[in-house]
Amino acid sequence: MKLLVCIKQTPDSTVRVKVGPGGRSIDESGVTWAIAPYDEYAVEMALERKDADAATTVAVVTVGPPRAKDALRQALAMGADEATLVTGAEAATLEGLGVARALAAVVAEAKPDLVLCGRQSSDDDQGFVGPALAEVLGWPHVAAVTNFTGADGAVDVWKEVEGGHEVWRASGPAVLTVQKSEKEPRYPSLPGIMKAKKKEIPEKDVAALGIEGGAPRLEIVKMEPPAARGGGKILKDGDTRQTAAELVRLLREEAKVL
Amino acid sequence: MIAPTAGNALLVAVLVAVWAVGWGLFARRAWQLYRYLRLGRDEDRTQRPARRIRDELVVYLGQQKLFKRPYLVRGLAHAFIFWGFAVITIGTVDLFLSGVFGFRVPGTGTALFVWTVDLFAILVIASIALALVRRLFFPPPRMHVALDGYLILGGIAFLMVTLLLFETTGLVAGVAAPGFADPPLARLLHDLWPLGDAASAAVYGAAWWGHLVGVAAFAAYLPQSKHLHIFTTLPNVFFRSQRPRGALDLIDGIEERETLGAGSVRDLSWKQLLDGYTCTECGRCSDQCPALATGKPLDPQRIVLDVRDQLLRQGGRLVLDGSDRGTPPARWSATKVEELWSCTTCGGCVEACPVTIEHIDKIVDMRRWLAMMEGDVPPEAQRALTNIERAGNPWGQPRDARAEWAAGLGVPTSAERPDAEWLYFVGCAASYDRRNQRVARSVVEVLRASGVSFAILGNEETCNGDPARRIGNEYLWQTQARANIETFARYGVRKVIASCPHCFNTIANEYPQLGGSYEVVHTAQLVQRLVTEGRLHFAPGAGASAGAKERVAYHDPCYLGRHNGIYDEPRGVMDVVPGVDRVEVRPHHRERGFCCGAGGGRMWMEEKVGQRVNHRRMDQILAADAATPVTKVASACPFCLIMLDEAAGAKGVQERIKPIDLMELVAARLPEKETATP
Repeated sequence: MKLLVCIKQTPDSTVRVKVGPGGRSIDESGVTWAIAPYDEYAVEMALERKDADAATTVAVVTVGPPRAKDALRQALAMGADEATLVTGAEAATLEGLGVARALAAVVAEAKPDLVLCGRQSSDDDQGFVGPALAEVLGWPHVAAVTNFTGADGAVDVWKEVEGGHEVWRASGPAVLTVQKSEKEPRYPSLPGIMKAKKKEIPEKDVAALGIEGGAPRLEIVKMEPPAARGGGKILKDGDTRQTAAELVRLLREEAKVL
Repeated sequence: MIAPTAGNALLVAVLVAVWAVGWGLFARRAWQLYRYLRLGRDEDRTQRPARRIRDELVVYLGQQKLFKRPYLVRGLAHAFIFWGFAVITIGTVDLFLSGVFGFRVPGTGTALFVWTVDLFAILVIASIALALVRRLFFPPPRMHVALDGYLILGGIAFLMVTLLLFETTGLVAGVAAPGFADPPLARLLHDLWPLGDAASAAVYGAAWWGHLVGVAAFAAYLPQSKHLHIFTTLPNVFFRSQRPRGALDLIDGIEERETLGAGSVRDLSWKQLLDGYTCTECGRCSDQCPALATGKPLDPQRIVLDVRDQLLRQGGRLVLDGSDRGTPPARWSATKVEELWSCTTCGGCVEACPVTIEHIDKIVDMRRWLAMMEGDVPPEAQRALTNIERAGNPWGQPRDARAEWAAGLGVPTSAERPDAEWLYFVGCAASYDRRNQRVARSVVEVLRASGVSFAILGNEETCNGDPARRIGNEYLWQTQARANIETFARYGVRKVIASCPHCFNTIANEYPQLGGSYEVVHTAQLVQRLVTEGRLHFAPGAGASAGAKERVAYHDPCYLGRHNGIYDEPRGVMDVVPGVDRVEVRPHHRERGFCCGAGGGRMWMEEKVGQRVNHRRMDQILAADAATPVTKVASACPFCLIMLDEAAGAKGVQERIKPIDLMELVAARLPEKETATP
């Protein structure tokens, strides 16, 4: 089976994101970048398939600035076979739909049996690109995927639902947006890292794919960091009864949770 | 004695033939073992020859490591057998030479020699008796009591008895050689001997032959058994690691390597294989292991014996086929991987081993293969590694929050004060862990009170790499170490203070492997130095509320104590601080200190099997407390503090016995300090 995983490079979860000057974007200085967590699950899920079936190949693709190459290398180090970077001046300003179109162009060329995306990125959290890609391709889309098995052109997809899971069958190529892989994303071996370092990563230009940024349909008006969390409160005075009464009062009047 | 073979060519030929067979079998096995040994990777073990000769004299000939408590009596028994063996071997050679050539080894006829031989014969027999009684009636829990041991003890006893028999009957039968001193014990037994001359002569011949044939049989049997250690200990001690105990081996040119760590007996160094030949299965390492003591699947003895057994099993095959890699050590048994991850690298086993076996290096080599070749690391440990990689600390806290503990303290960074004499390398724990941030602030108070010129790196500091190296990710350690070494170079850092023994150990002992050599002190050492130099003073009467001294137990951090031999400085600090009575957690203190459970990257791994190591440690502290009540337990390591805090909480004693850091104890007793003791 031929798998294509679409990933996005986002600030690592250990980074304390700061709002940049102007208040409409983040300050990128000093940011450590990584594969967005759900996308990393998608890579792991594809690699688990590859582990189970040696004939499976895994390709990864991202649309983004040149630094996004590091995310592709990470996926290669984990065990992906090839990687493509879609970049160019236009890449930075593309919105979700533009990204989906760019990815669709790559899919059309690579002709995978299945496309995997994370269910959402960890920066914009829109959850848009995967379904949009399915729409552009005219392929079916299954969301919240936790596993899949493929045989004879059909794919059985495990999909998480409240309190359990459903198994859906897709007869042709499909787009899956991944909730979580069976195992935690693997730790790349050092030879894997070294091999990935030397691997050629072809670049495609967004404009050359015929994708136009066009006028933005969405505009970020303002970014604000969340308010600093205040310290907790410890009720010490009084006996148990008084403390309990005070606790209920505070929960009702201050915290407003009762 | 006049040999029974004297003048009889046939008997001489028989004797030579028996010895040729015995020692021939010995040589064949020795050659086989040597060839297997050469399967191991090359490693230079010849640096510091003077140290090696000293070790040979003290550890091998002097049997130094045998006498550790609680093994003193058993150790003495062993030493007597060993020294007896050494002396009596000269006599045996003499017997053989005189039997074949009629030639006497010079000196063997002197009174001094015969007295020494007889003295040791008695000591050896007494020691064997002690060993037998122990094996039969008080078998030590960790020792594999097997037939092998009895055969060896029986063999030695047989040689001693035949020795005394032929000496005595030789005297009775009057076959003493002229000009040679009489063996004193034989002279004593001579009068008690019941048989007449003729019978004695027969017994003499039988005992003489028994002894020499016995030696040949022993020679054939030895290298098939664990008793091989009598030959391998000599080189094993000589070639022991002369690196600082706390330093792991560097993987040079790591980016170009095709295999990393031990994926086969071929990847373990020849010295690590020699360790396997040398292990006598005494189990002292197992006695000290905190993982084994708390029910984990790790037994350090098993690690060494598995290496040996696998080498003996696969060696023949591997010697013949250079392309055969053999089975990866980490896959030798179903539980091997869990065994390897259970190790806290506390060094208890290495400290205990009488024949200088290096357990930790093997475990780390196998972990390296798991971590770097297979990417097979426990998920929580993997998270810690990724966090170090991306955030510069194992907790995954933001890089730019590293110096927040110092907010409002006005601690200068190296960028602000490049001329500062000392760099205080804070470490991840004191930077991010709330409890340990208080320790960092105490360090600042103490340094300021002593007028020490210092700076911190602030957000430019990154994890020293110790957890990564001990988990087995040597590459990540090298990346972290290089980053810090570069930063140090940028600010011209030469002197480093560390309040964390792990930072201390890796910067002091391991950074030199990458070209970073500094004067590194742990805060416990520094405080002692500052007090001695008269730069640090305490408030008169501070801490001694109502004139009573408070009793504080001291917990030895492994990477301060066993790995770096820093036992006395922290104790010295506790003794000089006013109002503190130091209490030892006997017998688990100093060299026998018990790990808190956090070392070797275990801090970031879950502990699901058996009792938690820190809870066991708290049990020991509570036992000491039952004898001499304490109000605090001081440590000098942020991870020990976290572990002891957790254990005190779990046991519900956190109000009664407060875990603290040594530096908090010191800071609370500085002059003009108003706040209460921590």
